[in-house]
Amino acid sequence: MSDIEGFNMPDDLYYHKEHAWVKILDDGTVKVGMSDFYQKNSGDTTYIDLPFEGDDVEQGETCGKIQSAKWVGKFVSPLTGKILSVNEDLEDDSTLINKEPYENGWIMTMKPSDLDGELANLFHGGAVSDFVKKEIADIDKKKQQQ
Amino acid sequence: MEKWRFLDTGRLSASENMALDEVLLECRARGESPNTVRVMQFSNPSVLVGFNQSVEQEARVDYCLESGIDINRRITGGGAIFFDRTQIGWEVICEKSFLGAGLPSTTLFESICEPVVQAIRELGIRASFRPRNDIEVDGRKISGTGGTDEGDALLFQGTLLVDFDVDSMLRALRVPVEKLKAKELESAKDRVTCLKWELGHVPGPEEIKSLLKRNFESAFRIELVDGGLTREEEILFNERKLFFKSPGWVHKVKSPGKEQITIHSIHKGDGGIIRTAMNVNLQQKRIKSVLITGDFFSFPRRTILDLEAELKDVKADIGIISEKVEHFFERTDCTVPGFGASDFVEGVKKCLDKVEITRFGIPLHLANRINAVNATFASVINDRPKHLLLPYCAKSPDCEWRYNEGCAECGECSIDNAIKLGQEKGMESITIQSFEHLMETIELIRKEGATSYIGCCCEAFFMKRLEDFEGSGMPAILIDIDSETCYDLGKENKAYAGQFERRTEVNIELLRMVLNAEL
Repeated sequence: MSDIEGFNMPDDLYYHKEHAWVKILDDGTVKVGMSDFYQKNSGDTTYIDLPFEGDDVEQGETCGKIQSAKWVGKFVSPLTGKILSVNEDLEDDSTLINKEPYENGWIMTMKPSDLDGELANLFHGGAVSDFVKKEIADIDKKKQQQ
Repeated sequence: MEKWRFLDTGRLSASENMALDEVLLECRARGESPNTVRVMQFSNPSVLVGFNQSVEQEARVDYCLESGIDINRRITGGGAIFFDRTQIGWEVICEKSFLGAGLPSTTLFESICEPVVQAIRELGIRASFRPRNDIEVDGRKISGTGGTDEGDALLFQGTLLVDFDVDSMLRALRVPVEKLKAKELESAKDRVTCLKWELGHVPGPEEIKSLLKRNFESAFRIELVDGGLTREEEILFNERKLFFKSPGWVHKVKSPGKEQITIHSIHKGDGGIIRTAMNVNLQQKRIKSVLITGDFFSFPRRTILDLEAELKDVKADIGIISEKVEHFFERTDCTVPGFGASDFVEGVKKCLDKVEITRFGIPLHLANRINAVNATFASVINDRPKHLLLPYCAKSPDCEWRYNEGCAECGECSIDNAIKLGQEKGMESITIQSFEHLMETIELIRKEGATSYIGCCCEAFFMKRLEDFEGSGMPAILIDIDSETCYDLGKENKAYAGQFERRTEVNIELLRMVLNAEL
């Protein structure tokens, strides 16, 4: 676990700029969910339109919707590949995204088609801290303007 | 200074307004349209459900059809709203980077609502932002909002209530009022306000629009230039209009059940009665909305309204709710004389207990007519009660047994059927002649070893005697009776004297379900 400004952003994960995390599994497939930074800022997830199993998606493509309070936000695939499975438990309790973002709150698994090439577009290691700090700075700047 | 477009689309139908939302967001996300503040009105009164809501659960569809109210679906989140012809809709469509936040945070919502708050204040109304995303005047909502995003663009929109037709709203939406009784209408009216109620007159739409324009300009430090749709937007709008009118869009989300059912509970605390009415999303096990009423005062006055807002969208889990309510009372330092946080939790708990009854195969609309006292429904059922208490008012007025205990079992009234159902389960049926007789009977069966009973009575009697039911300490399931009761007819005094001359009906269908209930 790595704590960045109060947000739990585990070191072994990769992060997309739209706040999805990627965990590389032993068999070369990946597990995807939304980060602690996302869930703490967005509040309780009230609804999720899950992506479809079997769909081919591209990195950065919107493949689902996540609603928190009155905001319908997009769920963006962090990698290109085929969706192998989706977490149907979220249909019963979408707040798993908030309660256990890196465990039972996962959203989908994928077979990536260009993992090595696309990982370069994600934040990892020291870059995660810079990314989170910049996001926080943007929010703080807005608060100061108010 | 950055130039944005000020787009006044005038009056459009619900489907056109919703289609335009999608078109404007999509074109902005593609970088083809400028940042925009749009104001809009509706040609017909309209019910707009949230992106993920089901029409059947949120709207009284028949009423809307009969009354010429359009029904459509927003592309934004949040609950169903009623948009009458006087309301002004406002929305911001811009690149996310302008507002400096990619996530739907309270800071983002507040920064977009601020110009609208200022515009309302300029009219002399003390409006303020209520987190997470409403604008209110002393706790009463005057503007509700919602948003969505696509690519690097966002759309955030809100209503501004001008001269609100609250009666039509309450009839068009399935808000948590059960029978639209006058008292319920009044308490629902306490939750909203509009420019006319605050000012005593209705400002013209042009004045309101120009106020909004000026305040968006100063808050965002932009110049708003009047403009129309771009050619690309026009083309896309004409393509999408039909889809947004189609059942495929309007009924995109199918309801898990047929319609939304409002669950009710009554709780008696030291300060009196708390009535809780609640809509629950059963699939997601989440509270959609709560209405708390009763003959109590709260300080500050807005306490109950804030508490209701606090409980919206909360998981239907009594542990979480209890924590929320207690935290709310601690945080706000509010006072409701005669009641504590636990009383309000109890009101919600009793509603959720009714949801639990559905586990026994009893549909929610019928479970809503069951009250368990001194125990849960499940524990009374597991206790296998041996006594069935039935009200004398369900016997025919001309029956020789009307004012006497017992029954000729002639089949002329619902009491006969109820007794037979009881016999099938080996239960002894007792017809109750008066309140005193009820209390004596409970004592008598307790002495005989009974540890619970099942009874039938009207809701009004239950509410009036709740303290006595609870005070007896005997666990019971009480089933609401059908038809007009002495309380509906204002004849409770005659009934108390055993002289009520109308016949009520025991709800046989529900009684059968309760007697057959098994997990």
